[in-house]
Amino acid sequence: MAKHKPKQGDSESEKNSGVNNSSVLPGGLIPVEKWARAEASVKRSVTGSLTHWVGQLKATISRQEQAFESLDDLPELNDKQLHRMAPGPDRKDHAQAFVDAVLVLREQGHCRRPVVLLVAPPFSGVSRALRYFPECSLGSNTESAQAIAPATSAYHLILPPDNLLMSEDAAREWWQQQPLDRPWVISELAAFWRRHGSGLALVQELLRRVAQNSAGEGVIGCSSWCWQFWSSYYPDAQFAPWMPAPMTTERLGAWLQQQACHNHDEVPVVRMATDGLYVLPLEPEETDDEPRKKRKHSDLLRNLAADSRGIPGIALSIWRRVLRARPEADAEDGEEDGDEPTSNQHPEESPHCWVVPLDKLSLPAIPISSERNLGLVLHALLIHDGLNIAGLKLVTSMPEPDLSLALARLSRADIIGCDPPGQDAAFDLRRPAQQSAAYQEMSPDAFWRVAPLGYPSVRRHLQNWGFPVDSF
Amino acid sequence: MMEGLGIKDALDSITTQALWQALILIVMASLLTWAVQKVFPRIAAKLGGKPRLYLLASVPLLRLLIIVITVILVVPILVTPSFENMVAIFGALALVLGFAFKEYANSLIAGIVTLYEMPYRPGDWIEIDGQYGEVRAIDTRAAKLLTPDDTLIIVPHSKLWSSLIANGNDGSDNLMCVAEFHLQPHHDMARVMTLLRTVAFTHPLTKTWKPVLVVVSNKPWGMVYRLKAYPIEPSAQFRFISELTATGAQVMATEGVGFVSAPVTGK
Repeated sequence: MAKHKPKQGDSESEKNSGVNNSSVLPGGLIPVEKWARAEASVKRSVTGSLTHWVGQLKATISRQEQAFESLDDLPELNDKQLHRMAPGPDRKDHAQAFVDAVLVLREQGHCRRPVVLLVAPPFSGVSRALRYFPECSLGSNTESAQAIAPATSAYHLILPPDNLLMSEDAAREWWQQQPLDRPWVISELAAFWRRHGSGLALVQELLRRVAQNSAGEGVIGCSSWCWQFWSSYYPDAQFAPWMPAPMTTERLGAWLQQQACHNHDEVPVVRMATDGLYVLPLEPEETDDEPRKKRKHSDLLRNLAADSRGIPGIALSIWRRVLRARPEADAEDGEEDGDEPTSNQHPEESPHCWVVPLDKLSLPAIPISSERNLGLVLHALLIHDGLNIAGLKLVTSMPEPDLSLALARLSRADIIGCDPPGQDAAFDLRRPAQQSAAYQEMSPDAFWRVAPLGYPSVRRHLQNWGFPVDSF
Repeated sequence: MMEGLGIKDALDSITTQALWQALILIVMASLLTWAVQKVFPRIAAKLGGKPRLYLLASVPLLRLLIIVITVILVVPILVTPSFENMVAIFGALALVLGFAFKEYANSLIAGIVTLYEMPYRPGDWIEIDGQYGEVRAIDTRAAKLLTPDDTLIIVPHSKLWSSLIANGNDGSDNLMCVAEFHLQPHHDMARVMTLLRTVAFTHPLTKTWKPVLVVVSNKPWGMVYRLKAYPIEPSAQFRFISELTATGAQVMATEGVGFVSAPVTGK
């Protein structure tokens, strides 16, 4: 079987992007037109499509609402082990990488507009990073930026008002009250509007100011689903959005390896549980001095990049689900002392871990319904980057009993979950059981979002059902 | 006449065994056709979107394929496939169809043309002779049209030759819907157009990536606005138009723009 060997770095694409490229933000920022989806292996593409259609037909026969299921017997990593092997990027480092990337864009003249628009698919981590912009310093890494401005706190985070339903005059007045005269940041534009006749005014006024260059200097983060709506609403507007480069096989490998190294001195060894092929460490770049170790690599990273559509948060969520401890040793050791998966490593080797093939993993599937309600709820959640029940009722015009039923079905299938404010389900470690516990409360203020593991299936179904979907 | 056409000679070779074989083949083909016509639409109903339309469109094509293969298999069983025999059989068949079943044959041929030209496919929303509905099935002789009022209309394919056929979505799942607003004159037209456009964009069933248009025309009784947008699927069109109309009317009332009413006279 031919195996794709991911190597460290991705020199070709990085040259093309021409912008900042850090280990936390591999590939830097790119114009949205340059986005390209990572391709899976032919075998994975064919089996993926077949599984999707067969799954849909099966579901019409037996109406089971099956949530996530692992089809192998190997023990999963416990939370402590996961935290060491796949912790997710540090919030501040992540935010600083974005600050630096925006600075580089401006310095290199790629972006001459005072307001930078960052569009990203859900679970890309952009919103999470932008929330921490005020805590970052301008020019911590770039030399020229240090010359321009000393390391000072630069950005002011603009939060949406409690009531988003307002008239055009009220929206104009609200923006006049914001301190747009100093650098500002909006972590998620989707939080500033509702898809309702009275819920558009704030974003309309902001985009009008941005188009006229009268909004000062700022950075706007925007979900790609939200942007799909607004770019259709203003088809002639030229905002020239940027986005994080998608995770290709190489970038994803380097990103996961860098995270795994974060808590270790050495690069952990990750191998396939089925055939022993290597996943990590990546193939080192060839040098004349050092002879390269010959290792057969699995194509898991390639398929992972494709399955996650190059979105880091989704890739990380799936990665956490495929990581396994060795059954005999790790299960016991892990339980006893919460040790990291090093008990089975050879004395001279790096920490050792296993992964199961992606086809052994059954991701959450959309419950079958002849009604459009599930699609309406999911689409509303995506274009607003999450909503509470009142918000959902407003934008879907669904009666509350129907809405509660739809939410309950989707929640039971692990397609959606409740997030506490500030939590990002893709990056912050949290088990489905905990999400279900949050659901149990079903409070009116509960903030519902699509779950990262459910996102690929949700996007596919919404596209099939005819809903407008994002371009990524 | 039979002798003149050479049919008698052609049919002389038919044995009872050959008849049974042919019968079994025809029964099998009929069962297969029935299965395709029953199972495929059921599967398609579960899928939705483009896969649904493709699967529905494949039903008449598969049926034609089964019929052609059956004819190819059955004819050599019954008669020796020589040139003379073929001319005799098909000549007689053409004669019978031409005189006795002229209209039926007309529809059959139009049915074959329908499969090739595809003026309508299962899943399309068409209007023919004033009847609007969804094409539910394309049979050998006629198409079945289901109206919004749940009435099944049988439309012979021969209508293809003489009638105008309006196809709303033409094999795709994009069907433009129009909501009309007859408003009193003397208002801010630009504002009304913007508001109506927003009504369509904020409707949860709107395909926002397709054009949303507002066109206005001046009529003797006032201004007529036509709000055009695409719902997420053709079957949502009636709910979509109703809700666009209701929301639009609400917005116009808030703006103080009134609707015009035709004078109604009566006792």
